Amino acid sequence: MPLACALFFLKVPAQVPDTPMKDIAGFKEKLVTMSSRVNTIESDFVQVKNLSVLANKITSRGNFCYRKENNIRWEYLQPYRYLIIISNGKIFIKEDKSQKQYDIQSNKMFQEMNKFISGCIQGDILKNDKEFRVEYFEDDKNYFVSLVPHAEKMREMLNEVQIWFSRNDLTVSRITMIEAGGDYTKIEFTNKKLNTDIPLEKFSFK
Amino acid sequence: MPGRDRHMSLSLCLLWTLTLLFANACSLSLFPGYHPQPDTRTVAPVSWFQPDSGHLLFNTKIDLMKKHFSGLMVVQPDSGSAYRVVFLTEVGLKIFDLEFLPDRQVKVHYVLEAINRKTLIHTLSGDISLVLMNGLSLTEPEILGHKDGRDVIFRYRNGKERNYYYVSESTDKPYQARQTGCVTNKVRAEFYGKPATGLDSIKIKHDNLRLSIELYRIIEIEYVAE
Repeated sequence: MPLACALFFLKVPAQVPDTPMKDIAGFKEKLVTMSSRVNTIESDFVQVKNLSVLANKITSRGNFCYRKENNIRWEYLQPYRYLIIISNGKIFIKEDKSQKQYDIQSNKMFQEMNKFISGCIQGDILKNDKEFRVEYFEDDKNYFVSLVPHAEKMREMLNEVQIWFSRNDLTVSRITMIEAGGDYTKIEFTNKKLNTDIPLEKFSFK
Repeated sequence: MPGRDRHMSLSLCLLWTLTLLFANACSLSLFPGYHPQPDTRTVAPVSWFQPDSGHLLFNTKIDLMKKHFSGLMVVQPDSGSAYRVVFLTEVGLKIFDLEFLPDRQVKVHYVLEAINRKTLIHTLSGDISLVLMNGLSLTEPEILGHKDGRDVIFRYRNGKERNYYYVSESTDKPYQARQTGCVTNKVRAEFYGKPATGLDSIKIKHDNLRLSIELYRIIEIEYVAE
């Protein structure tokens, strides 16, 4: 059993900070201040999907835009095209040839997805201790938060969510979603720009 | 009484022969112009998914009844004759993870609860198995030739089902696969690609069910080593 445990932990993506955060209340306060000051975020992202059965990871790249309140544009550009827009209580998905629009309220999964994405951006997810066990760590570059779902059903799908906040500007620099078997999806945000002018048209469904 | 027994045996024998002939005729009637031919080709068709070739990634669209699903299908052949097939959403959420073993068994490693229906998984795994061509080495194929001397069809029997692979003279990779019951087509798969560059896309369509699956190969720009 100890060997199995060791093997499981070896699968975990990258080294995570293990020093418990000294001032959790201070961190939360700074996060609230930051999110009140930020109106827009624009960033590139690299998503790496690690499946234990594959010798190589699947890497995709794209662009992310956020504009207050609750306007999110998540677009994959390479090696495939895929666009998700969340705005005005609706979710819009565009693939190669087809596009669809849904009411977020019509589907529990969309509600959860919306809550999760906006919760990560605005920091609300840290308040959600009803659904997650939240633990706080830090190192010299990042604040690191680990969220473990309480619900067993949820843990069958998603064992842990790890969020890295950059110490410089408190924006999310990385999210890792670890599945029950150890496979994970890591999303790294680069070229972040805060409070640039992102027109509302970016979030309109065409 | 012995005469009656002999009569019954003859009747059974005749019935059995007629059944076999009918079954054979039925399946052949689905392939007009093709007929069994002596073994002129010794090379059986070869799967587009070669062992140890690294994973192949496909943009995948599934239309079931009036519902449309899309995602990424990853096919990882292993060094033996097994395949691992994982279906993910574009954002990385795993939908199913199946292992296709050399003895045609399918091991289910994971299925998202929302789609965990035995019939659906059975149908999907049957379709994937048809295009992977796994377990075919367990059976000796029969060869059907066209009267015009064109392409050749390799027929593999597996219980009540028959898998047919169309192969042109220029390559050992099939350009079409079909699965039939006795008298009807069940599903057909079209392969698009070139032997030199590999598979480009696959289109799977059911005849008796409103289910179609389209897979479009994604050429990955970068590989991140484990």
